Amino acid sequence: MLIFGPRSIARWEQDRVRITYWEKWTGLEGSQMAEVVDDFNRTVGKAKGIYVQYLSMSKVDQKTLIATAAGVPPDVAGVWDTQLVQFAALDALEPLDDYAKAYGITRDSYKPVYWDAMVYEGKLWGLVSTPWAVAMHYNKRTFAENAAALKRAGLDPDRPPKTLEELGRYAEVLDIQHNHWYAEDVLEKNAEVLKAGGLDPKKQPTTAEELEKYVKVLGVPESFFERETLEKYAGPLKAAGLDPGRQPRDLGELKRYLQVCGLPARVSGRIERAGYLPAEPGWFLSHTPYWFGASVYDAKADKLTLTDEGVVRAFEWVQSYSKRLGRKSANDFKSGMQDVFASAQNAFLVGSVVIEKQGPWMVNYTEDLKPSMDRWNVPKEELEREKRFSEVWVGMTAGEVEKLLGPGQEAGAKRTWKAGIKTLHVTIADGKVAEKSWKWIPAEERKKYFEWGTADFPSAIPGVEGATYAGYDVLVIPRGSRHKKEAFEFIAYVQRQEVQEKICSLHCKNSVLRKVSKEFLSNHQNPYIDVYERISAGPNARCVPGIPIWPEVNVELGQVAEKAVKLSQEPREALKEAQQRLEARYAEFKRRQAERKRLAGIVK
Amino acid sequence: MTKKDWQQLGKGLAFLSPWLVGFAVFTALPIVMSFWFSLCDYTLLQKPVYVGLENYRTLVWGENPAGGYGDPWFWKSLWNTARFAAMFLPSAMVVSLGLAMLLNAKIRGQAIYRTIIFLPSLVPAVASAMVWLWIYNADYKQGLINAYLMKLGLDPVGFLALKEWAMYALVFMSLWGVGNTVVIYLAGLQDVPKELYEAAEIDGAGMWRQTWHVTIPMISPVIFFNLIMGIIGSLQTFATPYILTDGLGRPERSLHFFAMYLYDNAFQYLKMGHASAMSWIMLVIILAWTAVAFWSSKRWVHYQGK
Repeated sequence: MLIFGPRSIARWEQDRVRITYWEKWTGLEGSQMAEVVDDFNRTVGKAKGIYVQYLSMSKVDQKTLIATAAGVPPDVAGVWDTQLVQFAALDALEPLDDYAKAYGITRDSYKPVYWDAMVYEGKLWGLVSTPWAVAMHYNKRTFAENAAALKRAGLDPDRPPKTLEELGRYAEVLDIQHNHWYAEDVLEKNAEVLKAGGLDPKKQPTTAEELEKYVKVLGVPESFFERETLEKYAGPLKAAGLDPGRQPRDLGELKRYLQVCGLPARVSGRIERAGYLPAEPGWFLSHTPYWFGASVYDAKADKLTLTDEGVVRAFEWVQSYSKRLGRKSANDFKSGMQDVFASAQNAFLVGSVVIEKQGPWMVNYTEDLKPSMDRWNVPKEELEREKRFSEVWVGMTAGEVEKLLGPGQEAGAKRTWKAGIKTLHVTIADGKVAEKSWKWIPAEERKKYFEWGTADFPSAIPGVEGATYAGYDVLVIPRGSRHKKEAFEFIAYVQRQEVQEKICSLHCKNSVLRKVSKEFLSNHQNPYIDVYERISAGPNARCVPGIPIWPEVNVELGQVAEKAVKLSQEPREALKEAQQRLEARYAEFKRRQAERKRLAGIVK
Repeated sequence: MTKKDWQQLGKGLAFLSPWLVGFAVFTALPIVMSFWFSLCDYTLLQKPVYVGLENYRTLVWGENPAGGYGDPWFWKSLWNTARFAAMFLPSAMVVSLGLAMLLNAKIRGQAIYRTIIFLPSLVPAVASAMVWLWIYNADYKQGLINAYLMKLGLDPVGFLALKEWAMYALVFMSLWGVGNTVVIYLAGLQDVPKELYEAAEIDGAGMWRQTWHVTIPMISPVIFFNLIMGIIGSLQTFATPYILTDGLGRPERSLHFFAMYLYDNAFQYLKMGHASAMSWIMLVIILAWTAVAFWSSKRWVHYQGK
């Protein structure tokens, strides 16, 4: 206790109003937010007599809930977008309208989607700390390596897909899947006919005789031979008058192909690489309807709309990938990528998935876990220079630096070197290194070195561009906070343009404000941040629906998505059942809340 | 009572008071409050409002507009829990008793084998779940089991990806931690008088008949104890499936257990009233099964000296 116990706070902190700020971020993100808090304490906090005590913790939502219920909440809490409306509806938060008005914080400064998400029942309940959006990430190198195949399919290897239909075609060309003849749902649909013919609808044919019987019932499978097999036997196939660039179309052709290539040894359907798989990473499946111009909740009518045609089509589209790849194959492949996002086995990093839907933070992971993806085509000499820069130390002589990094550009006392996506700077004083630093090269230049690119995730509605799901982390003042005015002082500080740009740069996210500086765009760690800035400011960005029972809705949608991916239920039916369950729950929630208000004497 | 008696009583209560206060504040009061909350609409953030048996009705017998009675997820989670208990309990008892009997044999390295068997039960549930996630991984490059299946020329299996496999995978994984039960059986086996085995041998009983007619009846009180503890523990399973499935009970809610749904209701959906009602329902179920076990014990549990 004596050695490790609590210490009294510094004297200068005792003179200030101390407010507690609980935040969900730990690790690197936590320490980055701590920098912003330190900046506040040194500047605005010092001037106004406020000290922010920052505590980063896991499960911040539950701890805030319990503390609020106990009457001892933190003054500021950083919670998730999925909880804002739920907490507001249960009287857990302080409304911020009066404070925002006093500080001149209005909707005009914000990207509309984020401001509107903070408003529930006409009141403002929080302000965003860091926002984000989702876009399409695609591997340019894989596109280039498969350029011939893409061109043969009538697709452009130098650009990403622009429509969902194109996305499906790109994915088909880029898939690497072992022999997989008949999809499970095709076998199931034709089970009776197969059984009548003495065939087993639960397995693939394994002999030439069986194959002929299956083909007579189901037709020749769309992809019978693996691409490698056709390429391997290209010569003999051509000599036999057959085309090695396509699959056999009928039973007669199939028999001739088999005479050349032989019957494939194993039929496993195992996927080595998926061009695109909606279930990877699968975090945004509940929001797929946004790309179909639909939503699961109509805020104006205060009605759940899970059975709307756009929502059904969205989940049918998700299901179409499992139907094409095969239920077992798709699920085994996805299952192998579970829980490896933040590791070197991340599917996008290892190339198991070529296209995926992701947020702007992805560059943090490429830079940390596979930096070569951000340095494609960088000259070897510049790569080496970047590595050697860590060996430069303050006090080293200019000669030693030149030996290590080569001759640089001189501008007075400063020396600069080009090192791929960075420029390295050293300041020389008295013939020795006085300071060293580095900067990213401008975003537009950096993009050409990136093995991966970012673009709008295509929409199903022609002409609708920039559709996205816009999420955010939000700062709220829990009900019962003892220092509301001081708490809002800190929240208002985080809304300043320079502070937003600092924290969003550090966290690799886009800004919540309409206005961003050129430096933010140019020096952001993610060179594609302009894509996120554009789509999050656009008219087709959508946030979490503002319904108080969103956690339950999200779980139900997750179930619908899982059943769609696993082909265990048609989306239309699953959505109908989910709608019925949720309608009952929402009705019960509203009835109980109305009863509370009646008992409290509040007439709505 | 005399003055001295009162003084004695006072001293006794004073010594008992730390435990009494602790029991009252940390056990009895929460139990009473939990029952009260189960009769209320309570969101944790707002004051509880009395609603009678409304929570129980919604969970169990209320007519559901989507069809059926009660909350379908309540019944699903209860079914999953019952299924797990029905598979895990008998398997765990057979496996742990079998291991205990093997470890009871006088062989070289007996202490080492006992240590090896007991060690997994010391591993925290979170660490154990993370290891099994790796073992069961469906990708043949990462999953230990599937890597060997591939080497044998077989297709990989998505143990935790398909609802048909997931429960069996969880039961098998749970058997890894039977070390505690093995130790208890081992202690019971030491108490079996050797003379009984000698007498049985003289009467011509082989190994299996000795086990059936001597060992099992003599350790039946230990079996009974493990049965009761097993019923209580398996019906409250939470940590392992929660970590394995990220709290979602996937695939397709096949691993969504009663305790997980209770946790969701309490801390995600903020329906503390529902969660409290669920905890009382589970208490009744456990009491019922324990009562059945006690009633049946008259037929098959034999205490020494009786």
